[in-house]
Amino acid sequence: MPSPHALRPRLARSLLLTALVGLACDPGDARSQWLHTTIVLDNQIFLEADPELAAGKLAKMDLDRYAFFRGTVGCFARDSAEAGGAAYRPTAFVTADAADVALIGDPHLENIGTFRRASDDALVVDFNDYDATTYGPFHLDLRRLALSVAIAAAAIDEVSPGFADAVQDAPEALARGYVDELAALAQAGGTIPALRAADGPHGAILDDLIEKAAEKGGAREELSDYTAIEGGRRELRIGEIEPALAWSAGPFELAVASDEVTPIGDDDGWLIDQVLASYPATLAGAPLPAGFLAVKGIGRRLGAGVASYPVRRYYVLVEGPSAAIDDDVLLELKQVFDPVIVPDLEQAAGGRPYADNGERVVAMQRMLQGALDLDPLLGHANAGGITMRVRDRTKYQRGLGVDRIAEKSAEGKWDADDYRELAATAGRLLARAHARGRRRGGEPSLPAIAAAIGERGDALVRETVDFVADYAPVVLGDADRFGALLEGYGPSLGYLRR
Amino acid sequence: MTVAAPTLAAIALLLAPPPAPPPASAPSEPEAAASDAEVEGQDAGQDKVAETSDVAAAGDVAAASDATAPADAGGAVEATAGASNDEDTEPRVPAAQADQSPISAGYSRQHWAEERHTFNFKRDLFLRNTWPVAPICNMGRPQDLCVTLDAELFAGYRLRSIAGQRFGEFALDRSELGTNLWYRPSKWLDAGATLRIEAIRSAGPQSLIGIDGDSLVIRLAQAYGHVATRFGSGLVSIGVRGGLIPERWIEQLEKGYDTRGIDLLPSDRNLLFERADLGASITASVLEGLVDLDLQLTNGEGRAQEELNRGKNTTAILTVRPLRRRHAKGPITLALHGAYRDGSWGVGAARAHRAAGALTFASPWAFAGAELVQAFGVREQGDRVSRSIGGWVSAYAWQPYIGLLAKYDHVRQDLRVADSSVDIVTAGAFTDVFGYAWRRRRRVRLYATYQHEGFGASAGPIPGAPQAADAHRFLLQLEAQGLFRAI
Repeated sequence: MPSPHALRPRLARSLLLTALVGLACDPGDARSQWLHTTIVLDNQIFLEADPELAAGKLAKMDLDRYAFFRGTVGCFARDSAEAGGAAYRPTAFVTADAADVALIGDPHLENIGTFRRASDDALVVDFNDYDATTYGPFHLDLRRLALSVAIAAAAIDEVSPGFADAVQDAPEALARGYVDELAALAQAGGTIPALRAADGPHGAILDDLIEKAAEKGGAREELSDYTAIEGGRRELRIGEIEPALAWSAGPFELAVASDEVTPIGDDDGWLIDQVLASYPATLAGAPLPAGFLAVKGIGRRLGAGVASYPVRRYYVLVEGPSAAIDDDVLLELKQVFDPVIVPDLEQAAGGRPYADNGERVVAMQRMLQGALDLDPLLGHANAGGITMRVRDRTKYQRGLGVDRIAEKSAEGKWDADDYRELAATAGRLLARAHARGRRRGGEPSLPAIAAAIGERGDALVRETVDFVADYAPVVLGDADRFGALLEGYGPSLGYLRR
Repeated sequence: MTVAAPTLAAIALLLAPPPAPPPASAPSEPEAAASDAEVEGQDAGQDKVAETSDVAAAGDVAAASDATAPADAGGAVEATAGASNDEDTEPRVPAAQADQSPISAGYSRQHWAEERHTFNFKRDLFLRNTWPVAPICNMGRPQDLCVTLDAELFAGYRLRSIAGQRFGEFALDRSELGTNLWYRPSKWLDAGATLRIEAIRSAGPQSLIGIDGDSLVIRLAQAYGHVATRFGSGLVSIGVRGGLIPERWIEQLEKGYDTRGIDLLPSDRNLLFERADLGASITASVLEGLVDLDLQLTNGEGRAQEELNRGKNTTAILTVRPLRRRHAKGPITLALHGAYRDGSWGVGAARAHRAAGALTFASPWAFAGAELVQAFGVREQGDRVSRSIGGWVSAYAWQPYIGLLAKYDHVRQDLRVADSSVDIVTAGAFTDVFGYAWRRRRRVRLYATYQHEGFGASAGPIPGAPQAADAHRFLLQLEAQGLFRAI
């Protein structure tokens, strides 16, 4: 046991550090006020409509720094586009033509995942969350994705000390991947290929993702996880699939759903009926066989996502191609809202190309993926003023997890090189998505972005790296400020529901 | 266009030709005098100023500023014809003071019919917003009741080019319906209520999707009660408003701004002041508008948001009108404005202070003004300091057929950042269907203007790429509005 004399300097240092952190994260400072206000504004719709789930989202954002980053894309957009914002840093690479290209909207590492292409059963890797997709300047996507690499490294560093230092150049690898891929695509012309598993290896991390997707998808693990066979009939399991996480901050405590399916209410049933009735018309492929959508079970899924944690998300077990129980299909119906708002970027300029958010998300996903068959069950519907996106909940669709990278890194199985390779591939994936996209007016994006970058690829890489170096510490500081706000105000951040 | 339809119908009603005067009856002497004076005034021509007694009989009078749009709650009615000199710098006597007759037993339908006819169709009544000195209704003796209906529509065709991308659209910028109720329980007191609804796009300019696409939806624009009283033989007037009240800074400045149909005031355009907010205000007007002092206590979040913090916005506005001339065609007013607001915004109670100064000029021939607003804290950014400077001028070249306008807005978005300015230049011409004297009760004005919005290198949504936000706009805009006394 250390002597009291040895403890004294450590105690003094701890107190000093605590005081400094306290000062830096004082809820009364301008940045904390900004953070407090913007997070409430961006979540006000949830705080009003479902305060319990909204509180769950804010608590989940506090679980680790990457979760905070995932839940604050609105803060990123404000910081980037509002004069005086912490990320309001000039770019030398956006022209008028490159300012309204199709964007992923919120690209980050955990929005990369696998799909099984229906036409040839090939596993491909691409972005998998298009809720925030919109039109805007291409560099916003690049900065957001490069930033995610730095924030993820900081989160992994908490589990695997030294990791962040070892992968400091990962944002550069990502930006380099983007620039090189875009230049190659511009030169090659023609169709932009998907990143197929068969074209690998893609590095330890992506190869692991692909392997797990093939294994769990092939085993129809979504059925074993969320359904049960009772008396020869498959039913949806209602209850906790994984135990909830305990969150606390100061005097406040909350159970954050991890993976849970709950019964639905009467209103939900009506909504789901309406959606299932009209959604088949929005499918890209052949019409579904008769009886395919016969419902065998419905539940509300809780615990998925971070930014979308409080949104309505239903699991619907349907009959599938035949009456047999082994080809039942699990659909996910998820409510979609407006895309990320970039302040003062006049989204309406040039018209609004989509009738509702469901159409926006689905049409832009198909455009940016350059394929209609990565998810043949992808579609959308609108009922009672609520817009839903529908997708296949197959485990062939599997997303990257920063927590898994942290775990493997801590075990010494993955290292900095693997992470850098992942970052470079993420940059290439973003370049492919941008290259497949079109501008708001319908013109292809690739020539506009390629012309904006020109021969200055190295400079764009430097600009992106400098941006990340400047802004990542702000985001990490925000995560601490957010923790202090939660301690002071609780998981609703002091918002009073009327 | 579900909202525009009733608005257009209301405007059509308000623009209808005047009906035949009400049948002759035996009004009480003051009312008879009023009618006589107005008719005589018209016959005598426009270059005369009403005598005090005529004016008093015709309704309330104040020699202060010009009126804002009919949307404004308070105001005055004055006769522009019937007397001698072109200019009159002496404050006029309010009706409530001039009318020394005992409280009448009540108003008959005939009395109200005559007042209505005078309000709606007498050219020599000039409507102005001088609240709390007088209501914007030609109210007579105690027990008088007045209900007005008004409508405003700003619509047109807009061809814009943003970052080189051209886009043309028919646009409905403003569609409002309003009603004012005034009641005079005693000669020293006016009370009433105002209700205004407006149509707005449900998605807003930064959002892709609103309600059922991007439908027009109706919301409350203003909803408040108001009381005004006079002291010291009418030398001091005090008014109180409570509810969803209009921002007095904008209301005071718009008295010297006649081209609201084509663009907002700089501070309004840059959201440095909200057009309306929940709260209360008290206004003291000395010498019938020579000096106005406004104090406001509001939530601070504006009409589009509920209160989000414990702090309230406190605003003090001082308006001095060193030049007030009367002319047969309308008043001539030069006003100096100053304001300071101590405020907060959002759950985090971010600083939202304002310091503002302005100069406005209004006359029957020309309007002009300049405004400077320094914002200490802009919405959620409490540490940002922004500055807005704007100037405008509009004048008739050939009244009422040809008018010209010019406006310049300069916004320094963040004083800490070099080259963070946005410059907006607007220039164009307009033509009126009705003459200047009718403009509060019926206006049909067509604007043809060009507007350029240019961004500094570190301004706009994409810093470093000002060309991506650079905008050129050609606007063909119709402004139609009407005010009608229903009771």
